[in-house]
Amino acid sequence: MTNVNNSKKSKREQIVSNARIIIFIITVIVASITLRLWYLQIVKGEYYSRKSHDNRIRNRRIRALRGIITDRNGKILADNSLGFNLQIIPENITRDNIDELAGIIANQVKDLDSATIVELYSKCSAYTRHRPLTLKKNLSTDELARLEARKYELPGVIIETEPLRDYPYDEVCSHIIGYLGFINERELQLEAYSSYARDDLVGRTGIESRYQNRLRGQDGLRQVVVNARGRELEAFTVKPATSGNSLQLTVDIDLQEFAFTAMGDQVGSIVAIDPNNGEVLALISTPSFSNNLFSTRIRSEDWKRINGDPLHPLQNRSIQGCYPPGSTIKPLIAAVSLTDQLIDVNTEFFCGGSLTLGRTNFRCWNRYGHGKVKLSRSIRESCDVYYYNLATRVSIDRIAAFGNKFGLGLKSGIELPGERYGLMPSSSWKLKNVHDQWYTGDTLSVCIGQGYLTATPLQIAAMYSIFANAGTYFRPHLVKTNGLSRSDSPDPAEPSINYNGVKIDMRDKDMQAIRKALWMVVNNRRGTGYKSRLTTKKWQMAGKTGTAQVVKQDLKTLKKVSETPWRFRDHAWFAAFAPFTDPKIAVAVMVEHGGHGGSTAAPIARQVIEFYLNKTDSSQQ
Amino acid sequence: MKLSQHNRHRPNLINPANEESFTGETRSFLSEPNLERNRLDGFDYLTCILTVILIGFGVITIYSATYNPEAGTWLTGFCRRQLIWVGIASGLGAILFIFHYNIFYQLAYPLYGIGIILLIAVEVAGSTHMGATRWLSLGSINVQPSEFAKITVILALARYLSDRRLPPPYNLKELIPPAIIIALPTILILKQPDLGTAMLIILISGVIIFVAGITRGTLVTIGITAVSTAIIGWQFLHDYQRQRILTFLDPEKDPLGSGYHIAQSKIAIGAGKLFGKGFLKGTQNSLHFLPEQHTDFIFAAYAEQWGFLGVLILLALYFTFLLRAIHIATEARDSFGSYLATGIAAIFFWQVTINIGMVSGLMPVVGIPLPLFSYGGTSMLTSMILISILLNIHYRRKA
Repeated sequence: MTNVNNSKKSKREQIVSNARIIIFIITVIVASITLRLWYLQIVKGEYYSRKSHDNRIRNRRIRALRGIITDRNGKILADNSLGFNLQIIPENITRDNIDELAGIIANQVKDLDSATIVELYSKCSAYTRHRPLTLKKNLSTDELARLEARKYELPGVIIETEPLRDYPYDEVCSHIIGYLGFINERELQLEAYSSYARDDLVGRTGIESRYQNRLRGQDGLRQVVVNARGRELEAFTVKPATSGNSLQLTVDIDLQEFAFTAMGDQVGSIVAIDPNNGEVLALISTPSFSNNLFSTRIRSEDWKRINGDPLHPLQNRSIQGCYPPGSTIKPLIAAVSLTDQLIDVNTEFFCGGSLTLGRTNFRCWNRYGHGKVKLSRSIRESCDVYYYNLATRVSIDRIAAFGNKFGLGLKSGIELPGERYGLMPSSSWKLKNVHDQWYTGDTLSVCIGQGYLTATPLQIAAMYSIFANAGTYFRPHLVKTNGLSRSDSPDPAEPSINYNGVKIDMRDKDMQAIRKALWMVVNNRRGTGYKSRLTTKKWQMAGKTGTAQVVKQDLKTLKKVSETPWRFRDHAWFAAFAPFTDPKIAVAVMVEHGGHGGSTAAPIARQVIEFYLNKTDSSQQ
Repeated sequence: MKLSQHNRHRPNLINPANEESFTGETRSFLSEPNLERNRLDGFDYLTCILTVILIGFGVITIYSATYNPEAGTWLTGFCRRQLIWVGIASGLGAILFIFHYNIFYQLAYPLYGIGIILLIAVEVAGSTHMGATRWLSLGSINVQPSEFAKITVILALARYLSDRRLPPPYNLKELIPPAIIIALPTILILKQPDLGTAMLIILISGVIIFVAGITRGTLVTIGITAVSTAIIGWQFLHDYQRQRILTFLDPEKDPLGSGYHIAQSKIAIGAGKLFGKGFLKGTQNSLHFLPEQHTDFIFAAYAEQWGFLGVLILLALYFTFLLRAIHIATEARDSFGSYLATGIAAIFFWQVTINIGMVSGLMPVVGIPLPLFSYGGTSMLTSMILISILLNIHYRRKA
């Protein structure tokens, strides 16, 4: 009994004293929970309050439409179209009918099989099932029509629209317009792109790039209240989107298209300029590429094909191709010689087929020689020896200075990125870059458009515009300047010609003599471009052929053009303007490895000029 | 205190048999003529009022947590069902109150046996839901035997300890039989697997054994064993259980996975600040950022709407409830009643601690509801039965 009593007493004592410890433990734990909640709600309350707000308010961008680009007559060159994307909302489709649904979709849409659809569908987690799942972007109109027709059999299937950049003329003017690309991570870090967001499209080349600020619209902002699954419950527009400003180019798209077609599959460039103001009417570089391929994320096989093409279709030969100008330079050499009164129009040189300077023999293209040659004949028949003789009289630095005034060796400042300088060599240039002094032999090469001298087709076209308008340099440009503000297009970083409408320091009679000679090239029976004279008597064309050597050829190994491998053939040039009395167009045509300028380039130039004159003539009537 | 002072002067309450009954020798249910006294001043109004207030808060929070402005009904389905469960549970509690709690002494081992059988039945024929087999289908009713086992373990433990002649404190060797009582259902529950309930049973039993009295050496040994078991036990955990613990340790690592729940719950609580966002204005809750906002995470929904002040009131209610339960344990007429009341206090204490600790990011996410507050019939039924027993122990306490 004592035992029991002891135990009993002891049990109660144990309970009472241990209960006190338990109460203490409970107090400590409840206090620490209270402390924790005080920390969450009072100390960090503001922080969590903000998080709670961010949780449910989502900012959604309203994409602004990009400004449209038109040609000089208002025809649209870059537009916004709607891309149609096929989407499904997984939560609106049950597992039982996904197979049937996928089967129907796969039947209507190309490149999509039902197994892929089912797989995509089943990969959706519970948290993403309400979000539209894109099955295919850019549906064709055919696919769209087929899907629309079976709309009622396809619950949970939606067609989403998305603004897409659309270039109606595709590869015809892709070098001018350029294309868009998604902004990359590195650019997003830069201050210049601070107002951009991820997956914004920016102009990558061409006008799209240079006028990015003008063409780009201001994105709008929409705030939506979302629930935990991201479903939008209500939305309100905070800021509407404003479309980008449109832009008018000086290009005549009909001429551009015609010239592009006239070029065929030949590699080269055509530049047409209005000599009265420097407006570029057409600017072609072949081979070209389809800039519509870039309007959505370009497929890698397309990119590989375009980028890996040995003919470099992405290069804009009109402003980036630096070619020896060949005989098209001769009027400039004549002009500087006349201006400096080293010769007059009647000065005669004898051409025996070559000229020997030191131990080197400089050949004329006509190995039998032209005999006695005056200025007009030297241009008409493109006698090299005449210009070798001028080269011995005129200094290279004088040619360079004069050439610069005509735009050679300088960037014109045309509104396209990536323009190249070409090369108008001088003695100081050679000393600096070749570490050698200038020799008269170098001048000889320059005077027939070979040697160190290179020029872009745009520069040649600009130069012939000066001959066309009888002495004024107009800066070639692509954009109609009315209604543009300075901020629309930042100045190019590199120096370029910054004057416009400047009269060349040249006597009028000298200019007219050269113009007359250029007229004879095309309209005189013995002219090198006679075969390409205009078919109509209404207008007359003046111009100059050029055949620029790619590799030096020996007299012994001289072959016919057709027998030479393509990449060793000469570049063919033809620069021209028309009508002779009141020029409306100046054109430079350059065909890479085209052989003789007179036979390859001149016919193209003639077609382009005739097309343009006919067009403007009929529109005036 | 005032109540017990008052009770001391009650006639008929001091029964000579009472002293004996504390040793567990003379027991028979309905033998105590307490109900014949025709007086209800032995009834614990405080616990009763606390229970009503907590359930009321819970129902209001369930209403706000499941409120759908488009549906337009003022009483949501969850809210109505919870009220029905409260009614059923109170009725059952009232019926149990009539019997002397000795009935649980008599039935402790048989009920424990039934609990074990049910757990085995789950193992054999249970229905699997989300990778765990916890439910037993009996016709149209789904029973969760682990919830039932929780109560039967306390009963068996209380009976065993009160039957024991050996005076406490107990040493390790003397604790082997109660350890077996605890281990049997715990292992079966771990196999389901339901780590949360298994841990809960161990923690509750721990409190009972601690209150019964153990030697200091035993306490240290158990502590060391617990730590080493945790390390070894890690090897046997399911991937999702490990993931839960890892996520708890570093929630930022997986903000949209398992850590998402904790992160969203912390946002809800924190955004309540001092005064709360107001009734039905908790956006974390109404826009469903909170997971399980009417069951396991209901505290976060409450904290978002009522702020730190509301939280203080709620914690004060639970704290008072727990102190009262411990007090009842110390005043019970026999050791069985003491151990049982301790166990009941422990159930409430651990559930509240684990639940609030979990939603406020102090503990890993385990599926344990907030008693009296969370939506759920089983939880409500269990809580009300336990409170009924608690009232019973108090009503038939010693002088």
